[in-house]
Amino acid sequence: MRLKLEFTKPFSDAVGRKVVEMEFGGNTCGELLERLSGEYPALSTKFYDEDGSVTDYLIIFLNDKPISALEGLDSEVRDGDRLLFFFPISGG
Amino acid sequence: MFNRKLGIVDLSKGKVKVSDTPDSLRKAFLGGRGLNSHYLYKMIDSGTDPLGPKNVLVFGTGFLTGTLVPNSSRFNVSAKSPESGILGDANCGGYFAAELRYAGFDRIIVKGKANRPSILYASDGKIEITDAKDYWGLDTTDVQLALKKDLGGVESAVCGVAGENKVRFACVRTGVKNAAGRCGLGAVMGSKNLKAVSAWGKDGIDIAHPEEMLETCAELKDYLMKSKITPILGSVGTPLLYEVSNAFGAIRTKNSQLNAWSDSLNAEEVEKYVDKMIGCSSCIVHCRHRNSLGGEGPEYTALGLLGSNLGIENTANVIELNNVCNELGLDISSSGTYLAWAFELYERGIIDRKVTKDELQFGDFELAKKLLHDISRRRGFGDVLAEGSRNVERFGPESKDYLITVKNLPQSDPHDVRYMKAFALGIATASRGADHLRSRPTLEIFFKLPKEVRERIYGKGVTNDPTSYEAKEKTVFFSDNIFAAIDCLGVCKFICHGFNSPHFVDYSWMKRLIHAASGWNLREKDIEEVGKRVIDTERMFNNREGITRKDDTLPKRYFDDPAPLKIAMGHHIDRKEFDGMLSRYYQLRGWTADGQVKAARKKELEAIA
Amino acid sequence: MKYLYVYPEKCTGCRECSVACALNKFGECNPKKGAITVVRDEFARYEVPIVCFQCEDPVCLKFCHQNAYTIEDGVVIRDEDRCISCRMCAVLCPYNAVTTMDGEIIKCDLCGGDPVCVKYCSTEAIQYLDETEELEKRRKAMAERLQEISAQK
Repeated sequence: MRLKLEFTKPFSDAVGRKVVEMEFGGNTCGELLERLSGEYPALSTKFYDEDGSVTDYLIIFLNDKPISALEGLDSEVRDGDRLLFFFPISGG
Repeated sequence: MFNRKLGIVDLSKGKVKVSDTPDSLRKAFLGGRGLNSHYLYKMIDSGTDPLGPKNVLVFGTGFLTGTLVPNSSRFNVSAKSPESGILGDANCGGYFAAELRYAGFDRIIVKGKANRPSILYASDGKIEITDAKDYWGLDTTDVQLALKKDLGGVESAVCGVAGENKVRFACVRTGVKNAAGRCGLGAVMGSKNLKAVSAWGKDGIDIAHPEEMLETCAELKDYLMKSKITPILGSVGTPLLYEVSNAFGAIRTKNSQLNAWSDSLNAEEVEKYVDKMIGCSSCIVHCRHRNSLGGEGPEYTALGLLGSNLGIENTANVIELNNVCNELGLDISSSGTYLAWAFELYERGIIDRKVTKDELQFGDFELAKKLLHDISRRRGFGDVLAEGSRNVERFGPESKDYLITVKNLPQSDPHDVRYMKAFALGIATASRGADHLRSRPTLEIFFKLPKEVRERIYGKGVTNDPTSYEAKEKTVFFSDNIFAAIDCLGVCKFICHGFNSPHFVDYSWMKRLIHAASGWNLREKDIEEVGKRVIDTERMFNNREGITRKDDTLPKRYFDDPAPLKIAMGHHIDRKEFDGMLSRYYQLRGWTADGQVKAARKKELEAIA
Repeated sequence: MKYLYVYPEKCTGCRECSVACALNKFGECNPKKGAITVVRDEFARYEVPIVCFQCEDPVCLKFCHQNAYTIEDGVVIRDEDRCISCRMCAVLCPYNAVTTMDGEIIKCDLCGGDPVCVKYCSTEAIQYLDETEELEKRRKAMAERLQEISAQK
């Protein structure tokens, strides 16, 4: 399937671009994280904590919903989906 | 001594009284915003003219301000707001608050009006009222430099030219860019002929348990520094948010006609203008940008409200407008909102050159800059704009439909709230008008937040879907309370639990820090009660000024115009759902269905002395 | 031998180092009583931590008529019992690294080898490092520059 991924800082720094279109053979967001960490090693320290668990500080939107509102890392991705990866930060 | 003094200054009589704050009051409100709000409620009669001598202006430091506690730099400036006519309050960092405590004061209450331009100088447990004629008319940097030179190394909270001219959204400023920005408190200074409050002190704050504080703060610092959030705030700062909001379709653009704008205001563009990141007193986050254009900033707010909201793309232009607002002493949130409002009204033909003199259009940097100067000096159309939301009367009722305010206060941050329902309820109910710093409940989008943690923080039934209205009142309730508590402690929200992070300084950390500093054994619940007391006291102030359910609403556009772009496309706030959420929020607060604090609670809080 | 090295370009001006020092030594939060001081001016746009260089030939020791100062393991130590708080050392220190407040003489003693200030710095603008030739060269250059500045005044 073909996915369109959009990264904002600091993830875009690790990828080297803001938008990536990719072929993906897996099923879930969790698998996508693993695939991306393999492809872009700099991403892996941004995605995972030292103990290997996925960091709290990553928000993923799958189309128009955060994956928190879906099945989390088990959320299934489908052909043509758009994902947005961003860092949760507040302030004004 | 751990406690400092309360200074009460009557500018009309030229008198200063120095006293202690009773422990009973400190236990009920701790300090900072809470005690300020208590004094406002007690000292200001309903119907008082905010720009008249009967308004009361309070500069109050937090319980932990000026200590080793990370990010304990903050104070609140409070008065009845000349912009909104209700509770006015603004929280501010920098170095002034710590210095005021070293000068011997927790809080200064200013009453009356001086018969000539004056300054207050606090030092060594005393406050002097002195002549300010040499300082009147100076921009905010110049006056601070002059005060440093004349009084010797003081830190000052000042108003700019905008405050002197009683622009209804003039701010109070300290340092290069720290501002008690909201609610027009600089205009209250101007109305009292008060140019500055300066402080210098060498009296340290005696700590009940020094070793415990050293240990607790070292542990807290390590905990905060290990988070991925802290280094990002310290290297990029809030401009990071612009890109996120923009990618999402949540950035106020051209008076919220649009919800996305140019990449030219992304953090990586801003970084090109950053010389160094610096901090406030005791700050371990250091999110302040020293910019290469002679000032500090821009924050996300400036990028949005002086950038996308005005239709301006050029990064340097936005930074320059940011610096201009800071020098003149104008609140950036309000300035950017009113300018964008006027631009749209002009485009729609609701106002014309008879009122505006100039042709108004989005994207015109030189025009925006000129108007900011004109507002601060009340020249031409600037004199009209200086009246802020009150222009609805002049521009006609239709103009109100395009004004992005709640309770006559422009929305503080550039976040278009149409997608996130909890956020919308937060700005609708915030005690000073449309404001994200009172609640900003956003933890729902953390996908790693296990259900039990979410329920422990917010309560049962809160869904993880930001577009759902279900139980969202609980997220606002929780956030309102804890942010009120941290505002009482004088600690920055950037390290507060629930603002950026599901971790950070929660009630259990607060309990430990309060114990180390003062020896008080408070329970976590007691601290949460402080927050609730603050919210209810502020509501009582507003109820007394006529605020009811009808005022806890949103700009028309957020209800009726679906967001046009990106992920947020099509989303808006449903009036019926919003109403249900609001009713449930009142139930949680124990307020009446009309949004009034109930009589028994009112009696209980009025009895605190 | 380990010494404190400062990096003004990393200093954010927050003064946690000074406050921690004062809290440790005097039990109070007071940046003006820290043996490490951050000289800062946000309008002139600089932040510089100043702390005792532990000079090899220290002026404070040389001119102390009570002989209150000694050098122990490379650290310039003031003996509180001998000191009569005349403040000569504070007046003479060319780096303003010895200060006084309310009759107290305030001077860094490296906390007996475990300096507290370092633990509270969030940017590594103060570091406690083993002396190397390169670090010493940098520190000497900084000292010379400071002397030049105080000579100008």
